[in-house]
Amino acid sequence: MPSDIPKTSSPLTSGQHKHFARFGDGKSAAARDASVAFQLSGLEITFDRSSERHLWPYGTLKAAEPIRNHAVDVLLSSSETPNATLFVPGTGFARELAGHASALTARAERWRHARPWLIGSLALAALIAAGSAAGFSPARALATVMPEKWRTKLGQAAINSMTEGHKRCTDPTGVAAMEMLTRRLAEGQTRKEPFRVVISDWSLMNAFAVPGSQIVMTKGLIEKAGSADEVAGVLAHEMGHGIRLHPETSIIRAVGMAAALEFMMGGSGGTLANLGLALAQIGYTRSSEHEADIEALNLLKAAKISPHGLGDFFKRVAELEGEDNAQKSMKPFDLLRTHPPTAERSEMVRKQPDYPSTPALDDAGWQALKDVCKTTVSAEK
Amino acid sequence: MPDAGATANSDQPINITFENRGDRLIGLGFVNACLKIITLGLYSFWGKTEVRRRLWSFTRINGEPLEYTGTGKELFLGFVIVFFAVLLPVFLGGAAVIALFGKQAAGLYQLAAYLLFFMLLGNAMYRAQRYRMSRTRWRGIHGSLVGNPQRYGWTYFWTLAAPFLGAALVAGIAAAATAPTVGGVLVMLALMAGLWVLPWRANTLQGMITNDMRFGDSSLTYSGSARPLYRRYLFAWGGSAFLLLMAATASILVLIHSGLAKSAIDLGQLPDFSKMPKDAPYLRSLALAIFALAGIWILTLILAAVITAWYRANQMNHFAKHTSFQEARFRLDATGRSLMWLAISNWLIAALGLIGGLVLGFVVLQYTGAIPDLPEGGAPAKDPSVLPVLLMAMPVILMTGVASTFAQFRSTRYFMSRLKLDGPVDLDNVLQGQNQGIRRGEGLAQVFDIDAF
Repeated sequence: MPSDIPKTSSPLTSGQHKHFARFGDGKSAAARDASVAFQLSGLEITFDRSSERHLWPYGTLKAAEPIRNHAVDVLLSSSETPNATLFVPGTGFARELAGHASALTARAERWRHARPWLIGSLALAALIAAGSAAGFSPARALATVMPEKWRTKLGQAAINSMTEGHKRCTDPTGVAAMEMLTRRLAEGQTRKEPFRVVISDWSLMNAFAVPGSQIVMTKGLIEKAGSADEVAGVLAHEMGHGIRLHPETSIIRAVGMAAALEFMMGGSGGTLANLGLALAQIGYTRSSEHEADIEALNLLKAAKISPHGLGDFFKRVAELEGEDNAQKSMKPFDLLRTHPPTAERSEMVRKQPDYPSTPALDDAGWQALKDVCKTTVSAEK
Repeated sequence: MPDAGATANSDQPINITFENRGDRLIGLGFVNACLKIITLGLYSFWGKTEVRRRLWSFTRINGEPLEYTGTGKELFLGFVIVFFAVLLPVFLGGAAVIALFGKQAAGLYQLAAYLLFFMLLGNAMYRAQRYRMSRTRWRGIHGSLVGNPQRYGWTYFWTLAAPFLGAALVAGIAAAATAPTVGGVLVMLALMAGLWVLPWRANTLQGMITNDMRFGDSSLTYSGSARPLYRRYLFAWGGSAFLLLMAATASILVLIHSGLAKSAIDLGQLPDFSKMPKDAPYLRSLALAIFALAGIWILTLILAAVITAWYRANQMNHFAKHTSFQEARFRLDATGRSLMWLAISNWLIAALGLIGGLVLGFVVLQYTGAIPDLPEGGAPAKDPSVLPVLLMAMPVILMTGVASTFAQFRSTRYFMSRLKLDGPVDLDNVLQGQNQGIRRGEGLAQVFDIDAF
């Protein structure tokens, strides 16, 4: 009975250690008893009362499951006799086979399969490290070649989703003041990109840059700012983000990262469902904040606006952070959240050499800007 | 050709057993998860393959093991193709739609994507099954699935889509003719009535796939009809419908009570969160309501699995009983109680794995000090960093990996130790079948996370 396979191997005739085995020829599902012995060059399979003999070289062997130390039996096949199988019960055989054909052990197999990926992961890590050391960012490179139209469209969608539920401030004189300030700052940039600023009727103190050289500033920020110079400083900072294409870069980076994660998780990351989440969690790194600060200082200098407005605003933020825990904002692109420590930044502004400057706006212009939310319209869809 | 040593009489009884000898694949799950982490997830295809090789090998027919001859590389290539041909385009399309048309369009896009995936689901399942069959050997004779995946996929789709769409249509027309509230009730009733298609559908699909199965050159045949399934289904259906009704009522109560649906139950009209007060007590009640809703539906799913366990056991036994190979018939000894316990215990294992991973991750975060401490102002001033996320993810991947491998082992053991084949089989006359030349692994099915065992 085939179901009564002896569980132990037994030394057969003539002193040579032979193991009991079941041999299937791969042509039909029948199997027959065989003997198997370790030879120098491979496994020798012989049959009682038959001259048939197979020699399976160790290098041609395949085990149905990787051989482990405590394996109780082994199922083998060999490219020498396609489709044929050899089932050898008994722990002794498995252990001895592992000695002759170490490639069949679980450890060897795993190492063989994992090695290319380990090397690949290390190479990837090295590549990323080298790239970031050399200042190369694929996301930024892509952002640079993104068509103007897409960037604008992307930015509008971002504005709509982020200011959802808030009206737009449209008082004509206030808007004119903001436009004048924007133009004055934009003069100093090399790319001559026209910037568009949307003022949102939102009491939260915030400002953010979105793709396509667009900026959102909140009523809360303008109200809490002490002077037009402060607003100019914040505006210059956000324009700095825009000039360096930070919003575009971070969106591309988020999408790329999500795609890579999806790939690594074998597609079960459920990115489709998390896409909104991925897009919402875009933030800037500290280094891009620093870059934006530097751009801001250049813009302010070119526009002959004092950099101290930016410094004053940082101080104000620090004070607010200290006194008002409830003001904790929950939105992405938050000016307060991912930025470098405010003290550090105030210090940087303070170190700027003095240059002749005029106020960002005259008194009338500043008053008009403060009143910009006198008239509002609901955001266009 | 009775060679020396061959069994003279080739008509043999078949004895299926599951012999794991104390190895419950916990160690393997651990090793695989570790390798998965350090290879950025890519080892998972090889890890999955090694698990299958072990599980197949534990399964013995007349004392000799089944053999799984698939490779990690095949699964990997299958996935790569699906990733670049289906997933990436869908994903990038979604990103573009959200970016250009806003969130409203995203919902529509997602719906379309899910519909596409659902249309492909049956096809993908068939292909996955075909791959596994072609990679399963016993005594060197491999299995195969010789039918057309598209035919199966299409049947899979329309047998579910048609009754529900039809029911929805009828309800819609009735609602338009009378009143919307009548329509709402009718839709519920129509959906419940639509559920009556399920036993017939399962039986049809099972017949399609079983009749396509070959072991060597010999085919399996399925002769079951759906009728005997319905008696047990009555209880499962009634129980599920009652449960659904209770869960829906409880959800609506929570919605009303929490103010989530302040402006009456305007179906399809989500509350405008931006207009709601964002003070702490309000947020707390909102969080509470969301937890309550999640709890209600998780409980509903668990209870539904419990209620339907008897039916599902009955259905599986029915499938086995009407599947024959040559003169022999399969027999499965699944019972409602044992199946229920299998489902519940596997959930517990999965939950323990997840919770264990989270706790471990938290401990690691604490120990390494990688938790971004809340600064003075309340708003974290630190750089958003991936490090804490990674440190948290690793123990979670590790523990859930161990848990899922163990659960997979338990499911396989359950079925294989209860499956019997009654009657003699002429093994000499089961000859090697044709090689179908399937070169790549499961592709889409992996993405949907469908696994027979």
